[in-house]
Amino acid sequence: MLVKPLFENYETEAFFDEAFDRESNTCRASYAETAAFFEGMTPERMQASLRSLERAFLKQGVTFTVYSDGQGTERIFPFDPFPRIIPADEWATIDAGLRQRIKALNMFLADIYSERRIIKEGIVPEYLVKTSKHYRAEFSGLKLPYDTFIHICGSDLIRDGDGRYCVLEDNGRCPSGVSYMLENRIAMKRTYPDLYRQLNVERVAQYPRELLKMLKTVSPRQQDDPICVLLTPGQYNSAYFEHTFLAQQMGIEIVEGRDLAVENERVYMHTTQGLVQVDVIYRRIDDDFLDPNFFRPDSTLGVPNLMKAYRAGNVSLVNAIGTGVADDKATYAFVPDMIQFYLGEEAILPNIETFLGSKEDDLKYILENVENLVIKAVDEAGGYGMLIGPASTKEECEDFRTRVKANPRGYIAQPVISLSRHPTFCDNSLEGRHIDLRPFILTGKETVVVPGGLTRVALRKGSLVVNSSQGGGSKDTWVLRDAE
Amino acid sequence: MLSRVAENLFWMSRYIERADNLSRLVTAHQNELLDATSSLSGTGHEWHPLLEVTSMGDEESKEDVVTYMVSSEENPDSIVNCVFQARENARAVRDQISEEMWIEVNSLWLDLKQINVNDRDRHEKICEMTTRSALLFRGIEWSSLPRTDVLAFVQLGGYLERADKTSRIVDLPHFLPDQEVSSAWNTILRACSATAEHRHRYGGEVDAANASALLLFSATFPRSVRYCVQKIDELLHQVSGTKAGDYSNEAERSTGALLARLNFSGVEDIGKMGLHDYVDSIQFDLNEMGWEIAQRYFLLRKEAPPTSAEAYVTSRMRAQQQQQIEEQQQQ
Repeated sequence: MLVKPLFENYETEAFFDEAFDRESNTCRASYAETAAFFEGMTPERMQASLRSLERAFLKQGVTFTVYSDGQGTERIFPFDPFPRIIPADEWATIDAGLRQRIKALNMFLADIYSERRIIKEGIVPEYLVKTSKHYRAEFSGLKLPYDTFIHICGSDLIRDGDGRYCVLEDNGRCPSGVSYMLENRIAMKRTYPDLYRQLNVERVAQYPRELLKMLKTVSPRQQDDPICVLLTPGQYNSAYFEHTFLAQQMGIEIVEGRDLAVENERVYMHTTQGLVQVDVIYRRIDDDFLDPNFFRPDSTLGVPNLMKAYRAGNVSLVNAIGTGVADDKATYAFVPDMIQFYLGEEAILPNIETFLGSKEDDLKYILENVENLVIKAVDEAGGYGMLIGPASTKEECEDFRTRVKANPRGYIAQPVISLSRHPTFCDNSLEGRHIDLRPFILTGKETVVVPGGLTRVALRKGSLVVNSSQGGGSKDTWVLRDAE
Repeated sequence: MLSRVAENLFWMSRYIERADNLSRLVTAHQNELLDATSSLSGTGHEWHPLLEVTSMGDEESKEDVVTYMVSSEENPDSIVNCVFQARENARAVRDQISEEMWIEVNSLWLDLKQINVNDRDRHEKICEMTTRSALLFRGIEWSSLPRTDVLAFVQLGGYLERADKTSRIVDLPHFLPDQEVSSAWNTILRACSATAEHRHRYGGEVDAANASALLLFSATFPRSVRYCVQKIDELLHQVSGTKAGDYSNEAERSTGALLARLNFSGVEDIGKMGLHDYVDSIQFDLNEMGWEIAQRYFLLRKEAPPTSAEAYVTSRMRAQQQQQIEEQQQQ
């Protein structure tokens, strides 16, 4: 067992630490080689390898755009080279839990857009679905290939104080971040090849291939090789790098709304040789912007009459229209019940205890305990529209109290979870920083979970917010292969 | 290939070529000004002929003229802005071009931004880095792009811009005081990388007739207008699959017409019209070719096309801004 010279000043404090066992003050077995490896490095060498990593990311344009300064500056997504390691047995649980969850979520969506059994049987209250901002009643009755609505899901997992993996939220609209998972891996393999080889890590590079395979399975035209495209809002979107990266890896066209046109309820793209029919659109644009004749009339990002083609069943959208009702943060609270209802199983990955503003008792509790809770707007993402009670001023808490009172349906509350921490390079030493994990789940005809994901890390000391727009960075995630 | 992709490839390449030619012109002119004999030296108008020859206008700017041409942010055609535009176009088609190509144009942009505003050699550095990078870019293009429409549209943009710039540079004497005209041909040859070729063909003395014959009518010199138009002609036929000598669209027709004119012309024909008017007529044809290429390959969309190439570029920029605002709302 490793004692800790490099980790001389390292403190696990009162948190669950991914690499160190607090009780015995030793390194966990899965981290032994990695800790020893970084221990053998001087801070100078560490700094140098960090700088070359950053330069490589910038040169390749592995960046996202920050608009807060009004200029739209490009930044690299800060990257920490100390990999997050998940042993095979832990991953097996995560994998099973994610499969179970996506199955239930898709059954839920297929149900509420058709028979609505779950509502009729009183498991999920009707008003909750009806009042969800992203519920699209007008698309009820539409039959989708394999009844799949959420083809690509990024569920955020955290570990609580006892190291238990829990689901924090499900991103079932346009989850992003997968390109960083892939680029991080490339960078890590190039920078630390020996360590990587030594550990026997599961591959992630098959993701684009699996994605394309999935896209093809949901094509409405099955006779030929279907035409799949990636629809981007354009090159000024913060995730544009990811869009081009994925399109390139899959070898499909990346299109903007103005590249597509709808004729006779079919979608075509403009090419130098004329119009070509499109079968599957992997869209990275929210519902609201997809079709100015149907949703927001002022949008220039979308394609006029796209919804006509979609309704006629001539084009598949990935993800489907109306999945947002499943990643509504109030719906989230009912996912364990959905799993029970549709599958007759206990949820493998538990939820975080959640109080709903729409429930009378819960509301009372929330209003009395704002200072001790995390409060979230149900339809926001990216770390926006939330309050971490203990870390906020009296005024901020009061402000949220007013907001929740005015719109109880619009908010939920959860206890503050002390996310697990992970050794992270800060200046010249290692310090514990809070992390989460976003694995990616693909579902067409069948479900594929790529063993890995994006580990996001809150680089600011003490911060619990891991979002890239708010000072978060990332780590490569190494799922270890079962040692046979 | 998507029309928009073809358009981005075309403009990426045009902007690289534009930045490169401007850099060469500024460097060559700077070199000429160093000679104390230049009557332009010390007049405060040293750089104005370049403004006119490049059609950057003679509007009063607070910045000095070199800065305006090289690094100004307010001048949409300054070298730095051209590099920026090239990079933005490349970014839009990252998935289509080679990794090395993107890294080259992105690195140039990042490196130019690194140059200190107070650096005394700032302009020289910008010009030198841009020219070097443009050469690399063309090399990478040639050795890494597939021989499909991808390379064809990149080359179309490059040759069209080069033909335009060479013809403009040849017109430099028109904007100079009389006593400067004869020495201007050194600058012109240098700006077109043609000094050595001129020497090979005609010996040491630089002569206006020889130099303009080389730059306008040579079938083998890669920066001559005729050579570029010939390449455009070949590329357009390759894209459409039409056989040589025939045409299937207006872009091919207008290119073929200009090519025939250049193939069967010589300096005598310049004499009749005067160099300035002759070059003007070539530029008119080049503009028409650019416009027809856009009509045929880029503007298949339903909305009414704007009325001129300039208006088209402006409307495109406006659309981009609108889009940018919406994308921000989507964050």
